Amino acid sequence: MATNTRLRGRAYLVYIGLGLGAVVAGLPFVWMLMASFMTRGETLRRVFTPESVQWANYLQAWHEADFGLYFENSLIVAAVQVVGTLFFSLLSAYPLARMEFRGRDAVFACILATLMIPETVTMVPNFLTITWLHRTTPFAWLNSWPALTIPFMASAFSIFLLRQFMRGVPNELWEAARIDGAGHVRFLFQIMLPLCRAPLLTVAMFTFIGSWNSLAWPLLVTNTPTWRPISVGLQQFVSEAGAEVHLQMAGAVIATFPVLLTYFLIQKEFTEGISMSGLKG
Amino acid sequence: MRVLLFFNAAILSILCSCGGQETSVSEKKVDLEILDPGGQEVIFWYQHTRERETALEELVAEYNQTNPHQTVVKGEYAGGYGDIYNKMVVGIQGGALPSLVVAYQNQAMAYHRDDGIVDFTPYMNSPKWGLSEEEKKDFVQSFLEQDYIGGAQIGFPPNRSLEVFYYNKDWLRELGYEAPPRTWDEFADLCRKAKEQPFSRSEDKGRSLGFLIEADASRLASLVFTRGGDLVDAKSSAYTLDTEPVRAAMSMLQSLLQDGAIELMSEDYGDQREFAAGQVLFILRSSSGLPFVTSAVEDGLDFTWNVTYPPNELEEPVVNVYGASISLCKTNPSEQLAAWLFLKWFTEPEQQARWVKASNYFPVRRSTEQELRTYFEQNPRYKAAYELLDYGKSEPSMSGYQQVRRLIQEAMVDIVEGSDVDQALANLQQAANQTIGDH
Repeated sequence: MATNTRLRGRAYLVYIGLGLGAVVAGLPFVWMLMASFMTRGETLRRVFTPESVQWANYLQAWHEADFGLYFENSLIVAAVQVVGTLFFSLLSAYPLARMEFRGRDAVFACILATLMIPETVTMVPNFLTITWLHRTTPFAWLNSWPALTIPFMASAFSIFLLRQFMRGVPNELWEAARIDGAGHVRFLFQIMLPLCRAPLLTVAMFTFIGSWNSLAWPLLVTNTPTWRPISVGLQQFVSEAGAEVHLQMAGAVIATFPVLLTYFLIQKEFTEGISMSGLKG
Repeated sequence: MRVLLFFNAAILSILCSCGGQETSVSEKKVDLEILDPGGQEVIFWYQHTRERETALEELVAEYNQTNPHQTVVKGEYAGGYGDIYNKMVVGIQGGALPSLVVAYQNQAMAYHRDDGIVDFTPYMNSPKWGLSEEEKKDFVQSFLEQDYIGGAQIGFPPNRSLEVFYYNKDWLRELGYEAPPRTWDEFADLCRKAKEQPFSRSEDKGRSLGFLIEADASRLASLVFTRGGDLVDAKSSAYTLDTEPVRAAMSMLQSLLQDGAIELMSEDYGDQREFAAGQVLFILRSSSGLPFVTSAVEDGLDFTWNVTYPPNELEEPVVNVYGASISLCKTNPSEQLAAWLFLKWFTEPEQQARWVKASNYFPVRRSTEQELRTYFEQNPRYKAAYELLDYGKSEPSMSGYQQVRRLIQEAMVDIVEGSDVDQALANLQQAANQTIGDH
């Protein structure tokens, strides 16, 4: 009886802690949502709820910052990057997890080491590579989707995540496949791939969020709005003189919507992918 | 599988590879007088958004239609000043430069050091393409001089701003004053009074401050200039951050903060927001923010306010004058000439007047005043700020100043949070002068 009461008490404490965490995490989002419906005066006076809902903020944000174009660009760039990252990460993770060859661990250690390098450090070499490719290949790299996507398709984190999952797949499956005459390619695409659904969706989610939120790199490799993402559109509401918070927040809600939607759609697999890859902590 | 692995390795090696080739830029001396600027495309990187960008685009479109050289100027929003600096730094290495770029003096110095921009002097002095003596005299000389560094004109001013003192007139009256403070002591007294007596129309009487200051080198410069000091010595060879005027400014801030009469700004543009909400009596801001503050106050409490020069300890007012200029990137001689011709056109009084009305910046040519008479009448606060131009003093233009600005910011935060002023300034001075060696 006493144990039950203690357990229940502990559960309450856990729920209170989680509830507080949820409030802390959710409050900025609620404020963003509220501010997106306010007049400029209300954002200046820092009220928490709008007197009347200003739906027009959304229309104004959409039209004035050319959000339609930026939104489309972000979707295309994110989709290309997700597909590319999944493809290359899968092909890289598989041999590191399932094949024996000399130097495998050293290669894996090198890939992991790149996780320690901050993005700002790789920005200059990446840009130099892109400008060199732009000059020497027949494709337009700068001001186009290749510069926005291809440099990020080699993701050490995604390779690590998939490799960790693939190592946990029982060897008996491979042996059975071998008996049936399958090679590595068939085993990877027909057996391993369906098993990797959760970590693949996790990789896809992380890549999508990364691509959707990126700002510094797109500004560096694009000079016109043709391929610029939605994060650049959000910058339009900040000038040297000041910020139009109500429009900025309306734009932020629009920009956040696809990320939230994607997360809710794959929430279960995302959590599974994280826990099965040994990343939970 | 091996083929796939090989393919994958090859692609990965391309993705991860570093390096590149720099574009060779012609180093030959070119005779400007025989150069043909015809048919060039001029790329212009700027930081403007919304109304300012629209106005700039209209001017650019007009130039593209009317210029006799069939030059096509393309204006491109390249992010904020920091983003543009990053683009330029990597662009110089990668050979991907625009024709014209917005740059503060210290940024332009870094580009010039890295051979990314060229000297405007030959263009300005060219008998065929340059400025006449009359036109040169028409420019506010101190603006041109701000960009003349190390024997080269590394920037050309399209506009300027001043750091002005915004004050809530109605609240001042409630405190028993008809005019803004003229000395820093008077300012400090008023800040303390404002803390005790909130603005009657404020919706949040629990928050009442005299001043909300941003930890920023330009704000400190205003506080120091008005005490007769400077951030560098007369030869711009060393920083002077451990001097009496800096100490007095920092001590005043520390004391007022300890009394709860002022606060450090914690959010971008927070000072403008709280000023408009009647929670802060004074703010120190760029004159280019006048339209924003005007509309913010109108949307807020709609009280009476004005701008003036900051309090000072000297016989004459001193105001911090600043503003980014435009630098001419090292591309090819014809493109450089075409870019210069656009810039020359852009700074002509007629275009300047249009740009000023749209941007609320100050013009760089005196004769623009003739075109602005009606605008002055319609915008008395702009006129009040414009009349302070003669009292302008500018911040250092050393190439490491960007780094020193960060050091000043950190020192300001440390001091107002209670660090020993003498020790903090001694450390700041040492760290700032260290950057001179680094650059």
